[in-house]
Amino acid sequence: MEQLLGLLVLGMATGFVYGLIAIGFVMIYKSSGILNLATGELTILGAYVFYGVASQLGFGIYWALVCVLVCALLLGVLIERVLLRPLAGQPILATIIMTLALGGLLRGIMALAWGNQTMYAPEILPGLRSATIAGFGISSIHLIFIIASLILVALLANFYRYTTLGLSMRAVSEDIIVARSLGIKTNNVLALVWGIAGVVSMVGGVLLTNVMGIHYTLVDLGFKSMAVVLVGGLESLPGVLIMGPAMGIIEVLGTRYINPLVGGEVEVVLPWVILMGVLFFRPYGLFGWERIERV
Amino acid sequence: MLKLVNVEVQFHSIVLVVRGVSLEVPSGKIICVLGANGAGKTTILKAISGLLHYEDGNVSEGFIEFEGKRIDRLSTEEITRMGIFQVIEGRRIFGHLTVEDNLKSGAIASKVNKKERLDLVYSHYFPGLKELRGRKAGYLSGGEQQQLVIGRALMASPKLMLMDEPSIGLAPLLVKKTFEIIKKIHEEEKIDILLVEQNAYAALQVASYGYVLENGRVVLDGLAESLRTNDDIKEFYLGLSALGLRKSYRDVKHYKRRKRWL
Repeated sequence: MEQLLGLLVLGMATGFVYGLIAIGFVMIYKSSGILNLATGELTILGAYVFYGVASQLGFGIYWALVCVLVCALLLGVLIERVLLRPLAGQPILATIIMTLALGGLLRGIMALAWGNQTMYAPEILPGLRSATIAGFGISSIHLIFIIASLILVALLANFYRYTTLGLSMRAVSEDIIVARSLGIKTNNVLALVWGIAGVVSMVGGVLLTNVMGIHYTLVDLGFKSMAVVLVGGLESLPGVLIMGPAMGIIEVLGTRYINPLVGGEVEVVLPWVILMGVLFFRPYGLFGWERIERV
Repeated sequence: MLKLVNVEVQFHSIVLVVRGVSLEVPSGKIICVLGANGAGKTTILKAISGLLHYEDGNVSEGFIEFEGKRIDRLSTEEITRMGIFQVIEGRRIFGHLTVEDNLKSGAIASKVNKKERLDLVYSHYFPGLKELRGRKAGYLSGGEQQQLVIGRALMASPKLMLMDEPSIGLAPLLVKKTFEIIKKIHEEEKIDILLVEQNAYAALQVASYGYVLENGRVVLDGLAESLRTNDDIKEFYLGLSALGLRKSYRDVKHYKRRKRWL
């Protein structure tokens, strides 16, 4: 029993890592209707930039953080302006494939720039070793992950609901032509969306550096987060908060209890099996928007 | 106030959809443009509102003026901010947003007091929407959605409203109501209206002047009363002919009865 509880806490903690990355997906989708397939790459790029500035260039973690923030904002806006805006008016698939291409490009650049070795960034909060929840040790960085995700979701949810800019974003994602006809500056809105989403993803990457070593193959985390997003529903921030930890817990339990029976690697398969199951019954995800169709 | 002079619209630099249309919406008037499917009505509205640019279309000849300023090279955002508001065809509401958010979205680009406008829409024009304010707009009925798009346009407090087939897909009673509302908006809010319609009967009831469009050309224009009594309009747009009288087969065969303006 004790062991099970321990596993639950561990699972939840890792799950919030997915959750935080998944917020990047949801944010872009909710505001522009695009599935950003380069989310994982952006996250790991954030980690590398942090590591590069803090350790390789030796500027320390504060400058590194500032640098990541600025880079993220610029990169997000740049992606929208240079890569996606020329595709406006084309089928949405073209845009999504463009993000896929961007992801591949970023992966290549990271492999070139930082090589194949796993790297370890300095701790963001040195000294804080671990906290205890209900008698179970949980590393402080996981705790930060949890808190950061919760705060971020609360901020975003209120932003979407109560601000004019949030309303503009929702309008743009639902029907960009109508949004234009209402006089909404859709280009600016989209640039801002990508800027903010870039920041969310890349800062998530910085937190990630304190959980595990950095290696460009970690972009697979983004892929896994996509399972979380799709199960939770592409438009749903709460869905991410629930499904992230849930997926983490399922993974941990699978590793512990099913792996010995089948010989391993169950945790790799499980999210996708669950995704398939959910897609059958709720194609828009557990908490996503049901397509409203009237004729 | 709004003036189109010899406007030609091209798509993809090849296809000519509107061929030399001139029309005018003077202050204080409702003007209607009649025409069948594919006559170029919607394209004209898009040319005015600037939405054309997003469909690889452009005004290739002639120009469009609003309050003495040339607008056919401006973007939709700029044009909307000048006070021209297009109500797009087909009741395109934001289905997943609440009724109130849909209304608020209309006022994003204009400097109006949102609360006041919202009050105006709820209490003066569409009391029915007030009860539905928290409902997702996608679940409203067709008539309610029609109210919602007009309400959304009202929120922006424009000077000129471009309405694209407000009667489309509505029951006759709702069509009547919709046009009453349009008239009320025009009279009480002092908003000029350019109305594009296939329902010539309803449109000519509220408009003071009309243009008939065919194949991208204005083939006939005149005061609403004179259009209502025009034989060709009656026959081809109002579906009326000498009712009750004996008809010879020659008259029924449509191709025999040539439109006189051709």
